[in-house]
Amino acid sequence: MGWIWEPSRSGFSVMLSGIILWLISSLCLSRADRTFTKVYEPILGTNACFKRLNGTHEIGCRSSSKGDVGILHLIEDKHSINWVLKDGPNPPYIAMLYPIDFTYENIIQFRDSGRVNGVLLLKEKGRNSTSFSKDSTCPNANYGIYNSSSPKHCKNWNPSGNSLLWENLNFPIFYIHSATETDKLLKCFDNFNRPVNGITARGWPLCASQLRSFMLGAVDTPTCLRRSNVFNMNPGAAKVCDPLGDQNIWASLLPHNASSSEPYPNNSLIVIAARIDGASLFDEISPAADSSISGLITVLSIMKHLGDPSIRDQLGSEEEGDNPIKNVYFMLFNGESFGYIGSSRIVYDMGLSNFPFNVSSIRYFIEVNQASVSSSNGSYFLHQSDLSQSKELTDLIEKHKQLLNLKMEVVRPRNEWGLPPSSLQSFLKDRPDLTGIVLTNHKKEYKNKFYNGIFDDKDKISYYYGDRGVYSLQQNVASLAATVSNTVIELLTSSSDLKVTPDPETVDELFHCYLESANCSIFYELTGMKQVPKPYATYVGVATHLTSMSQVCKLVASRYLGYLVENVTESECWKMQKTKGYYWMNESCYDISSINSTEARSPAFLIDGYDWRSGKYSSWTESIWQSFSVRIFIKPSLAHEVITLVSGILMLGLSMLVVGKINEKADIIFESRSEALVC
Amino acid sequence: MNLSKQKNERKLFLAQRYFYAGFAFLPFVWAINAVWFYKEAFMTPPYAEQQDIKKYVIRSGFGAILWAAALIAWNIVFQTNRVAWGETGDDLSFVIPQGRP
Repeated sequence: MGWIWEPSRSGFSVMLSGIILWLISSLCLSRADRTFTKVYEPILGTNACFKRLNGTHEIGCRSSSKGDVGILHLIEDKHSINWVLKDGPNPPYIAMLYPIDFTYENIIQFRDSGRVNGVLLLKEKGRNSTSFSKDSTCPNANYGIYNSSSPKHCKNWNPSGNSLLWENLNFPIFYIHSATETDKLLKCFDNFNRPVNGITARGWPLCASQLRSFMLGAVDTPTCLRRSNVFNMNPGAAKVCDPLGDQNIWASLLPHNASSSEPYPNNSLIVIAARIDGASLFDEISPAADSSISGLITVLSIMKHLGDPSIRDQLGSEEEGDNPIKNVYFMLFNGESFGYIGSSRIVYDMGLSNFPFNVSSIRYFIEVNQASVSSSNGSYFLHQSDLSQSKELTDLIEKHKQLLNLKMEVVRPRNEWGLPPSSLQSFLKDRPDLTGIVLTNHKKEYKNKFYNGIFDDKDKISYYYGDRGVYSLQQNVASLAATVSNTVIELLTSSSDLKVTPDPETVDELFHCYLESANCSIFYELTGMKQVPKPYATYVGVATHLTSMSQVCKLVASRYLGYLVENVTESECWKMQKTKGYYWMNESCYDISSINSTEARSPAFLIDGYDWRSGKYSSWTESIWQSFSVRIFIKPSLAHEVITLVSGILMLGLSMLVVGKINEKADIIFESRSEALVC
Repeated sequence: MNLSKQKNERKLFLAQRYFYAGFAFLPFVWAINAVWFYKEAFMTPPYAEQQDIKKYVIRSGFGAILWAAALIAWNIVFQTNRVAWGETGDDLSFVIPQGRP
């Protein structure tokens, strides 16, 4: 006898030997993984669709708290859609599809069928979809100047838009941007799930996937804010959503000391504006190449032209009182995709006199929207506000664009389409007779088929780094910037002697930084450190967290509009950061006190007792989430799973019985040694 | 405490004490009273104090059942209506559910 190394009668010893055996076995197998790593294969390189809430409802995706499981099925044709919706014998399914099948109809059918537990959007291979916009056909219509009874309320500006971004989907959706992970999914589907001859279902086991994107927020913004503020022992722990927001960047071209100089008279300023942010259905991926970056770079380029000391010194030398135009303000709005958050906030601040001037001080409002033109037959379009008095301005622009051979058509004001969706609308809501123009690359429908989508990238606007040819994007944007700059110079100086020439090099570098890699020379000079070699996401994010996007925009503006301070060392410069607004970048010290950033959070979150149902201001919040994960595993049939579980439980019961019995009869089974050895 | 070893007066005192304590919104005390003294009240051979003990046990038991019924009714009403009540529903909740109405 004696297979147990220490014969004993006590239960304690039996337990002890068990523990020792377990220790020995785990030491021997210490290289083995944990069980779940043998069962699950994680899918990395994913972007999740998440939840946003507004004053009345919620939109976006969520999974259950444990994650949603389904059998993978690839959508290739009508037949496979029917398979998922009604024919397939093993629901629920996780539908895998390519961008071309990611249509409103398909997704809504999946959601309503009750047989689909989630969707995986795969990266397209080879074939490119011709349009992919999840924004509405008339972006921001509910926040604009045209009320819902007006025929101009919702013109078909974005015909590619299918409004999925604004739908309450309530199941998980992930975009798989990695090609290797896509292959992993397809291989698992082909090996286990693909119906034989396309019609006969395969038997168990099948390849299944678990998608996890649980969202803490629910119902609507007032509910989630209220729940975030309930008393909690651990402050902040109850938070379930955050208002959208970031920073608006605004700067004056000429110095203006708010405390000493007089306030600006009416109609004495030019505002040049663009928006910073784009949007998409998925987290961390919103390139917005045409949607926002093209206009942003045009305005940054105008900053560079006008802020150049050789130009600015002559603009500033103008005698006071001679010219009705006193100054130029640049404004970069954030959060515009979600109900004009940034521009509505600045107008709100102006109304409360929390801004250096108010809406009535503006003579001309010049906004650059989608501005990518990259073909010989492309053209720019100048849209005007309905009640504007812009003849002087449009005549000047016409004159200067001809000098630069820029193609631009002035769109007749008060036409049946009205003003395109633009930040200008926030200002017009406050002052309908404001003279404003919007420069875009479309007359009616957007030229951009990927507006606010994940594929609105450099390829779609034909951007090639280094290409500065006659019809290149760089050349067109540079000419547009020069045209606007020359117009503004003439308005400020009342003479046409001073001119700038297009600067496609700067435009090229800026596009490279914003669309290809933030690890570029311009950003490196400004931030003094290496950046991740991919473009920044343009999504505005939550107000409690500043994005790299707005920070770097402020730095670029500071570089172009700041004043060089000479004979100051780096340490002295940093010392005067607080007191004088100095900033050290590009190996020199700059006075950037005229470049400001203010909060771009919707006024809805500031007004006490704001009526969330009124829809006056943007009320979007973003739900908090804990983690995103996608993993696949081989799932046996239900019967198999039940048998495994039941036999496991039986084994446990049986072994407990056996051990108990053996323990009871231990003195009979195991021969007793001398009493001294036994406890 | 082993009731069977207590004197009869002591038993009556305890049953009475528990009965009155239950009025301080302590239905569990009534429930305990009813269960604990059930045998004394109904199963043991009669003795002088048993009538009074019986009275307290019945009343405690009745009170406990009333409380339980009321609590269960409220719970059903609350659970089925919490979402519809909106803000009031949240205010009445100790743990607010996350990720759902």
